[in-house]
Amino acid sequence: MEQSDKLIPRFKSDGENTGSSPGMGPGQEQVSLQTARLKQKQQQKRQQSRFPGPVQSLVDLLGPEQPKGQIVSPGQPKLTPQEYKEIVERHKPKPTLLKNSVWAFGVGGIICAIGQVIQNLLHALGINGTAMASASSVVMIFLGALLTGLGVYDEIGKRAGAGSIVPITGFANSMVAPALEFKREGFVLGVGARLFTIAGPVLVYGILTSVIIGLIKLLVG
Amino acid sequence: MNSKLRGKQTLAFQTPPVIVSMASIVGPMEGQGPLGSKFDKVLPDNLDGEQSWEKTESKMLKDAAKLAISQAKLTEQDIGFMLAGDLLNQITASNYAARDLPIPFLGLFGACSTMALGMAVGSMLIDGGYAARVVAAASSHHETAERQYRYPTELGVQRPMSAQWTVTGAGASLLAQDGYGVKITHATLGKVIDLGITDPSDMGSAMAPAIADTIITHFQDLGLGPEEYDLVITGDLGTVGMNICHELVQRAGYDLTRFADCGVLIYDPSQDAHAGGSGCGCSAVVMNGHIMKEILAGRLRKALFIGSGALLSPTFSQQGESIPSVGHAVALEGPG
Repeated sequence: MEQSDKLIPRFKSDGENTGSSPGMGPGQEQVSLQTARLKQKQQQKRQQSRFPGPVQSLVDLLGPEQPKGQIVSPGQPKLTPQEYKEIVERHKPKPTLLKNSVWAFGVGGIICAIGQVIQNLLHALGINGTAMASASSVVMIFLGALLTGLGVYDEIGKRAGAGSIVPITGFANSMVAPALEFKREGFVLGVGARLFTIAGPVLVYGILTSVIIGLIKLLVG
Repeated sequence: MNSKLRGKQTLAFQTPPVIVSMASIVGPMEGQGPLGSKFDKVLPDNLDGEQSWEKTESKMLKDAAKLAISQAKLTEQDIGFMLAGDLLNQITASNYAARDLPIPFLGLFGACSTMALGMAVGSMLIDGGYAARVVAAASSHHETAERQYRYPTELGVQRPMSAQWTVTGAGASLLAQDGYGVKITHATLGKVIDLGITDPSDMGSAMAPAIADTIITHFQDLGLGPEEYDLVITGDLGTVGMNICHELVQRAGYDLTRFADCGVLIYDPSQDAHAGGSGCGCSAVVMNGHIMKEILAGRLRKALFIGSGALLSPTFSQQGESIPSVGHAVALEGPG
């Protein structure tokens, strides 16, 4: 330690412009002479630019987006999680809200329209009332499951978000996806145990809510 | 006594170990990416004839290690130790790959920083005189990672723009005491840093402070600046993490002008990988398939590679914990 510190001078470039890095302790004792000398050296190196031709083109090829950072208030002390959060917020891409909403609206609407077409067909076949509602749900669940098995539903969901999660086809997807996924771990400990990993919470709280509402109805009505 | 230690965290190798051969195997999506032609082998699909994705990942890792050994015209008997890691629980892909190889094995877990960690520890073994040759490898697989860390692969979920795509790939480096190849001159082992990011679909932001810290420490320990390197390349910060890291390093007074990230390089924006690639395999294949070859060809003379690992646990994450991260750096130098 003692030896190595003597061998290699510690430095920080841009004396005024220093701010401690995140998670770094103090220990920034500097020898101004060494700093100055190193800065000079660096400047020389910068001017020389070791590989003017090929590397430039390589770097162009390497980074499709060379980041352009901005210097934030210099001389800052240790970065706090709160400060860091602000930095992150500045760099985080904003979710494409409008595009996502349009997709969700469109796809959700199409799924519901398909459901309606099925209901109308069932009606034309003479199936009515609750039988019609149940039968159309069964068909939609089948379609959701089929598209999951064919590897299409996740592609739809990637774009549509809630538009394909909320309809009953989304529920089918949340059951079939784990069933496919965990088949390799066996039918008991794989499929059996993991089938409800996604749909489980919906069922638990859905049933719980209906029980509570039933109790309220019993007491009030 | 600490004659090989520089500053706080940087190891200077007396006889820099040489990377005498490299291997990289990737999945089909990576094969279609901008670096597709650079890799040694592209799998036809993410299963490659195996019974499960986990088995595919393990086979990929084993094949990468074997390929690195055979390309150096050596046999498994010539290798002192194998150091490998992956993202699966109990680093299973590596353990099962090592089961089929007659090489003493050290399992490593540094999340996505495993390749850099393997190179650093391997270099220590060689420079310390404990081995003449060491193979360091790392792997990840998109589907195995998805099902362990996130959701079943066929579930229709929407990924935020900050999310990254786990690379299907395995890379291996064969480190030797002497020979021709890229030299590992220094290694800076990082501290685990956590600035409170809890979003598992924003690993770049979680990792950036740890990576920035390792980069800054490396420069301070050695009294260098970014000018020393033709390229500073991080493992898998992605576009978001890369921008944050750049800013954090700049706050400390260093301007990274020649700065790249394996996760950003591996996919084309049209491949819908959002912020870029991630996973142990990401930096393993980009370094072994691309960057090392650039150094060998003389297009880069010196490069600083910083493996970036988000030490995420789904269990801890669900219990409300934030994501700790670590960055390990290795300084690479051309043979000339």
